Amino acid sequence: MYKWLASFKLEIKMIFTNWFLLALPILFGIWFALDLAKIAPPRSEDIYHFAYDFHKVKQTLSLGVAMFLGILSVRRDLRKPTYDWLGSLPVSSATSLISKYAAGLVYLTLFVLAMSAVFAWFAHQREMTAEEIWDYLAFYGLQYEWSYGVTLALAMSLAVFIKNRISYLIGFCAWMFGTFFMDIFIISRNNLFFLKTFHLSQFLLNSFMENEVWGIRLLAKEIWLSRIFVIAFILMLITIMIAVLKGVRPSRSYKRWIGFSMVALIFAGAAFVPYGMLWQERYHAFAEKVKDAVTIEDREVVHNFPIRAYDIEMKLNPNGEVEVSAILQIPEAETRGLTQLPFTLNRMFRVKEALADGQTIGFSQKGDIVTLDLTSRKTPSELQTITLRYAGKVDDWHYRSGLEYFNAYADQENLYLPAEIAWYPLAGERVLYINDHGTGRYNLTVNPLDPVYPSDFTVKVKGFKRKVYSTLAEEKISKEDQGQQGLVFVGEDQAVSLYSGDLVEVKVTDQSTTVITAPSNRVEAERYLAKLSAMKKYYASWVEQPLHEIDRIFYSSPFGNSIYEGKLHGTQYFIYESQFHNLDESQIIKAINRMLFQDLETQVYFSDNPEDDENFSIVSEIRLVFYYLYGRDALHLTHQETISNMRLFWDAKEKRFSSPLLPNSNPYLAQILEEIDQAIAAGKLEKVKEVLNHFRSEGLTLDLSNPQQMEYPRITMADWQRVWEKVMQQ
Amino acid sequence: MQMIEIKGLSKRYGRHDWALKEISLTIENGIFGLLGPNGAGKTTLMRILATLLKPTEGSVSMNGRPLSHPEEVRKVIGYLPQHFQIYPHLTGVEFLDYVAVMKGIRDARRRKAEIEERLEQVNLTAKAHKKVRTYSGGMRQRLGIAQALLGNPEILIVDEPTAGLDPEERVRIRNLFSQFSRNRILILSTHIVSDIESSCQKVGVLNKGILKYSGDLQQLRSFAAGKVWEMEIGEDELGHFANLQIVSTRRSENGLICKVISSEPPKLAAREVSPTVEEGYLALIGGVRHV
Repeated sequence: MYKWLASFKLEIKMIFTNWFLLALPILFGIWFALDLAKIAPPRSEDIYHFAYDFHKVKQTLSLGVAMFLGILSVRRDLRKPTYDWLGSLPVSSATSLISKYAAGLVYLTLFVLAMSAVFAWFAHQREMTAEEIWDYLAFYGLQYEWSYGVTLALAMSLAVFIKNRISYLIGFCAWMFGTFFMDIFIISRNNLFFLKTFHLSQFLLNSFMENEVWGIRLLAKEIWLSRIFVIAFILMLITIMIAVLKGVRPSRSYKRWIGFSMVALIFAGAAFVPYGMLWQERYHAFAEKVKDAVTIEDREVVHNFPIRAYDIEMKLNPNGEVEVSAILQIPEAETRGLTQLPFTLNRMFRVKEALADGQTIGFSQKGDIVTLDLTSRKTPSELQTITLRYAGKVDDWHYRSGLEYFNAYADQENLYLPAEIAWYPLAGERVLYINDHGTGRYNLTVNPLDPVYPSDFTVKVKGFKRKVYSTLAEEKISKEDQGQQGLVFVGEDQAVSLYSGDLVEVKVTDQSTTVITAPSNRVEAERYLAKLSAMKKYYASWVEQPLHEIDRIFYSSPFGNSIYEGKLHGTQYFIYESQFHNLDESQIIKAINRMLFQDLETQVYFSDNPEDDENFSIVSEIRLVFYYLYGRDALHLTHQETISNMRLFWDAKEKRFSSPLLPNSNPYLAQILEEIDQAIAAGKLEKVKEVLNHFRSEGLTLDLSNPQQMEYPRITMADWQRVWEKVMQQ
Repeated sequence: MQMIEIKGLSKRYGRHDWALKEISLTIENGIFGLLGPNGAGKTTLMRILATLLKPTEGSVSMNGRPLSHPEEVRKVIGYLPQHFQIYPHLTGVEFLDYVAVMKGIRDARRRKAEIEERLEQVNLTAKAHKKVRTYSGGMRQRLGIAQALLGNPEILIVDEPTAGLDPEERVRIRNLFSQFSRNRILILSTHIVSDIESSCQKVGVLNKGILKYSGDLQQLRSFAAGKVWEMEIGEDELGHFANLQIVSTRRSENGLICKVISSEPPKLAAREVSPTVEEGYLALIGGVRHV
């Protein structure tokens, strides 16, 4: 051991007395810091995303250092005739080689430390907790170490196997091939995701890992199986290298090391098996889904019928299975005369029992369709009760166009069950997956849940460690009851989705709205809520009809999760998170739109064509006046300031707005604003508010969900003038 | 008595390229010189003895330790290769300390004492704490000798150890080797016959992978007995003797005085002289030419 230590110290000295090598981790840290320092509005401020962006490109580039160092450390002496004296020393080749590997890894760990220090600092600035920072760093750090570990071993192998200095060139090619080339042209292009473990960098360009809330956790099993294989692969390379060196330099243990190499090879092969089986299962499940997938034109619902109420109890068993009992109330008339009643339930679940009005009935399950045999039931009650009990492991992986997605997932820490995945029985026969091109190979998407009759839902959820959220309202029950029956969600809706994960709830005092988001977005969410709160207070102070509440705003990465569609759901609002924008002014406008007008529409004008009597309306202009008034009244801006800054709050630093909120070119808006300016100048601000209250009470909601038949109030300039003059003359 | 026994040793590269062929040799205490032209197989033999190469055939026993147990052999040898490089970032002391640890000297005080002694022996004490990259070629060579001597090896294998050394250092190293080889074996491979002449008791001559001679210096010299001639010729006559093996020329008042190895007098006026070791060696490997 003391020889190994001396050898290790020598290798460390070789590296750490090289100023060029010493400077690289520092430069790497500075590079990372410069990247993270750029995080600022209007782009996303999600430090996780930016950190991942750095890792997937720049950490991959830093593997070049590992490649160079690995080849250099071997070529420096082990395979150099002028260092023959080293070979005559009574030291095993294994001692020399392992000490070189260990020293290289210690040096490369400096890159991990540099990255960690920078990330910890910036994450702390973004109010992430120590636990959150540690979680992310533990993940990043291990990914780094594994990347460096395998690259270093590969590089050393090249130098051991190839005596010529061409090993440097081959090392360069291996570095490029084993990273970007493999990622873009082999894995992504051919959907060969199981090859990820052979990727030298453990960060891929397009990876589900980019999803902060679920990415790391949903991939945890795959990542650990991959890590085990990579460790076994590294061991195999080291063992073979030692065997080769023992062959080059005579040793009695040469044959023994050949034997070790064989064992290491078998071990590496065995370590690949669990990883390979995981992928075999995923591809098999995917292929099964493809078989039943249809094109978008054929996605009709066969035998749709209303379900009056759902009473669902769901719990996660310790074995990781989700067990569900769903009691459905169906009007007897809907099933009268039928011998079979079809439901759609995801094939992840196995139906154990079906009952009609408490009596066991027969059923069959094929793919995603469960068909109940009604011939054996008694005379149904007027409101028939159908009970289905089923269980299954929820892990619905699929890929599309070189990207991986999880359509559904459930374990103690994570829950993602969108309604469209049919985690509870949906009425009729539906297809869950659409095949865009009809080839059934690569373009599978989840079928949007449509059409569905509304139902009264009661959903009880148990067994999850983290807080579970739902698209339904959560019933307030005591903690004691929560312990017994879990969380309870109730409400009338067309569908219900559940989710849980690494989410934080961000609140500001005197604000009822909560932003639920990933930990990296905490600061951004707080600032957003503060601005939203100020505006909300202003409008609440004078609007006659109460504001429409938004209880929760979900703000997270949409990567593969269709639940985040930038839409309203009851008193909840879902916002796509993207690196290109953040919780900016447009998101505040949408939230205020929701509070003032019950919709999220912005920038849609119906006054483009004054001749079009049928469609003409200045409803949008009137809606904009509410914002104009916030600038003039709450922020005490002049007309020009309000117009030119195009913003709803005064912030000299943020000179940005996505598009003009108050267009100068709109003649109707210009006329209305002129009248308002005159009224304000005349001390008639309250009258202006009265006018706006009048129109708001008449309705200013836009429903543009059907482009062929847009619904909005038709308000002409004459209508405006009439109300204006009436109120002003009072 | 220390002893190296080499029996039927051969080394082949590729299918037909024999670097050494059936070498059988016994080396006992003292300095054994290994002579031979370039490509004769000297370095191959040295590398085999230093356990860096596996022979194709034959066996070697080094003080009773067979070469097939290289790990055992490495414990008793010191080796200086022909071309010698050291980690430039280390100081002389750091380098020797590393080698000493590798040679199994665990006790730090013992290591320190021995390193100081070796540095003194190779006249490097003053530069001991300087980085190796600041050393001249000769200094590096001396440091190489010091590392080979560390741990008092039973057998010292040195390939061209005095290359690059100035005359004073060469003498110092020769004396050091003589001192070292009192009860041990030192195998010295060199091109410099004077090194062999002044230090070796026994010598072996390799040519084209074959051991041409093994024995004492006197006997080597005798290969040229009665075949070394000295003659004086004009400068313009030198071309006429191009087919002879001229071993030396020096200027005289009337032209050049040449020493020639030949079975017969190359010129009527040629005078037979007593051969040196170098001439014996040249006569052995070059053959004796006829007039």
